[in-house]
Amino acid sequence: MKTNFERRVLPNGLTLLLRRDDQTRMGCLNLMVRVGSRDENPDQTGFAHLFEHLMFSGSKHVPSYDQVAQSMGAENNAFTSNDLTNYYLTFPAPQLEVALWLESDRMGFPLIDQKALDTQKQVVVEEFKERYLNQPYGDAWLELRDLAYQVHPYRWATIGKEISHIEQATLEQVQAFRRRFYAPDQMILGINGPYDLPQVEEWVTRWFGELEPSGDIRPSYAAEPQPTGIRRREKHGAYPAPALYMAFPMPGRASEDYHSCDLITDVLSRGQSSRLFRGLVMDRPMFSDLNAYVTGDMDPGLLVVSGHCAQGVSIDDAENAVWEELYKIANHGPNQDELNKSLNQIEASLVMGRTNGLNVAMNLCYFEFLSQAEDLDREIEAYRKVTPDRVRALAAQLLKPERSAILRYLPNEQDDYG
Amino acid sequence: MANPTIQRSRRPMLEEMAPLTWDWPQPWSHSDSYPKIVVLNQGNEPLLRIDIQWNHGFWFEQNFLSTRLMTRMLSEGTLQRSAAEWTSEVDRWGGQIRFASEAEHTSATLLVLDRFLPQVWPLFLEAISEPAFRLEELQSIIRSKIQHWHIESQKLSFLAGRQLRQLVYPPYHPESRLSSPADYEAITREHLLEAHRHLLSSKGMSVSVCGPQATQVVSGLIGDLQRTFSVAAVDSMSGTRLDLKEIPHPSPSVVFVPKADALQVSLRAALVWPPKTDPLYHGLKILVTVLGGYFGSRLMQNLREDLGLTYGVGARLRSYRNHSLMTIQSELSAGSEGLALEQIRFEMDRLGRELLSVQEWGRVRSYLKGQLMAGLDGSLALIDRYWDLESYNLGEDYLHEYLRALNEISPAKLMELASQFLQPDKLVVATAGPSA
Repeated sequence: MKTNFERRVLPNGLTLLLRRDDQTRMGCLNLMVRVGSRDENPDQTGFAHLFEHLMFSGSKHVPSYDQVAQSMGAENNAFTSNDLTNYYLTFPAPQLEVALWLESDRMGFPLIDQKALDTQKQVVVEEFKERYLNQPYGDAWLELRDLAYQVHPYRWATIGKEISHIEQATLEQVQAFRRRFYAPDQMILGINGPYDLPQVEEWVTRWFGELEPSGDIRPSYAAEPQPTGIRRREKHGAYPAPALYMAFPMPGRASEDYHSCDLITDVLSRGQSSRLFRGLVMDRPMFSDLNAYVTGDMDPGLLVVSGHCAQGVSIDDAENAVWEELYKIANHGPNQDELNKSLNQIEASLVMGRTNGLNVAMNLCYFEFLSQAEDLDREIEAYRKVTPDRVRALAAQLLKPERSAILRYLPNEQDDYG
Repeated sequence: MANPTIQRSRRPMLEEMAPLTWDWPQPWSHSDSYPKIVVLNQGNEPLLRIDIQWNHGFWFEQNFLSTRLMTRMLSEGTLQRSAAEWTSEVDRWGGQIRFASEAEHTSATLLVLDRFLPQVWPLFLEAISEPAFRLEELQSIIRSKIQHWHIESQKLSFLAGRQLRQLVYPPYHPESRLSSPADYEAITREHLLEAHRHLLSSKGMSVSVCGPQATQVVSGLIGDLQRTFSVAAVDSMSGTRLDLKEIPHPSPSVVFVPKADALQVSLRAALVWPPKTDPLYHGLKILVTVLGGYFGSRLMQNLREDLGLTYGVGARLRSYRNHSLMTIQSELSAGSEGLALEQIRFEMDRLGRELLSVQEWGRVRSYLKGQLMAGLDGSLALIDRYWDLESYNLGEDYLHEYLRALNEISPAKLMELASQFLQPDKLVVATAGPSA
């Protein structure tokens, strides 16, 4: 698998990655900004995400971003994570220059006024309620981050720590945030489509070339100390079933052990033959659903196991059953057959991902963000280098009770489940 | 900061678009007998996708929930292999197999790397033709489904959505029946066996094979398909069909479902419209887009961008053979549902009173053409479009007609359609949220 792409870096620091794809009639533009919720002030959380909303409020020369996007037949959206903010656009391929004009204007000259801020604060508050507060277990990640981290900014979610931080955001604070982080040297531009590099480079230079770099603005993130004992939190309420979230600190996405950690969770819960699904959902039904996954953050992240208890199963029994599975993989590791199974599934997913131009553009940007875009093509090799012994050793090192943060939801009628 | 030599205020020229053309799955010439097979030999990656669809969905089941549980149980072992063995083999070769039961169709999809087709294809057929439906797995699935039901039933969207179905559909219609934990508990292995017999006996099974190697592998697959799904077996069985003629227009109403601890209000609204096969459907689809089908829609502009009442509001068309359902959905700030409903009705009414401006119509048309182009770009997208149409016995002509409608329909015609179909006083509304 080789993703043929070309890279150019503009004098102002903007990185351009172009993958020529002559099989498509659609253009895809992905713009990744090196700012996420980890860059926020602990007393002003949710700003990166709020700012993402404000970037759709128009810019100096393009009063309505959406109207122009729609006029060119484009679909667009954005998302914010702990590490980055990502904007993307797909459109009929011949409209690339319009897309570049559109994106460059809001990146360089956004128009953010009090009315736009007031409206988007209301919208984000409703998003906060809809996704995190108004559904069972919706606040799990707000709670789990707060429990698993003590000093690192991953301790709050991208939506923010609390609604009041969003409600109290001022125009001055938001504009200062933009000046600090929205600069071309903090941006990676990925393009996929039937394009020649010289033409694309000319257009990118024309529209992005005048944006001014910000220089080195990376904050230093407080290193999270190694946990020294189990951390537990229980929430009691009108929950429909007991639920369990177990989190273990793990290396960051760019670490050489990341792939081994990812394979721990694949062996545990990828596919219907995985250990947790087959063992604890189907054969010995302790859970109605149970998953293991890694957060994949740039800085040391979390390996998480989460699920809802099956009816009639107590949370203690369910948790003990998970520990048994974790001990098994820590003591005996996976066998080569299990790893091969996961590797074939990963390869199939990577190949499927390549069928979508936007996915390719986004992945190029992401790997450039991590280190270098060339690593995208080395991903399957990185997984294939992992040995059962390494998975076992890492599992033994990571999956210890004294390193865990455990969040449990307990229904008021706990007796019904015990 | 701004470079004076660059005229940012002047948008670069929108390029003229070439006429939209596309490849389309072709009937496999060697198979003029059952089942119908089409092939799309396209794609750059070494992937193969095989879809099987049956003209039989859960609306036609004899025992409530049996079709949905039956399709879920297809991946839980066969007569030859336990669930653990079957799933382990599929995972081992990186195969992705999905069984889905919808109202009027049931489908099975296999996505696999070319080189693993020989290993995964027999597993795919085996699951469909020789499922074991073992009691142990069935009980686990039922327990999980019940637990899932309990979790979902705490969500406002679930409560409002269920209420809406009961308001829209008459009591005899299967869509009006709401599931409860007791319904899951009542399902037996015999019910699944019966649902499976009905699935395989339903006429109208068809198959697509898609990928860069599709034409090379299809011949080898046909024999397996015909052996597995023999014509004799099909003809000897009689599928049960429910004659779901046009459903009557529901009475307009607004019903509220209280939930004490809710922080927001979930709003669901609907109108019953003609089916996808109706000549007016293209215009209605465009109308729904203007109302709430894209980010710049009237409802998004009004409720989100102007009033800040919601994170999102949308309108869409859900198609069935004999009707379509235009729905509006939003999660709203508590206490704002009255204002939101007033604005929804206002925007519906406005579309029937005022012509779309040239600018707005131009934007919507361009947006929809872009969507159509994206929806026909790449083999996996194309095969999705094929099934979108095949499900209603429609073909490629439908896309040409839609494109023609996009080019030719006038704001006056859209206004006329709106006045006929977007009548605010006919809206059926369900809301769920905190008591006043």
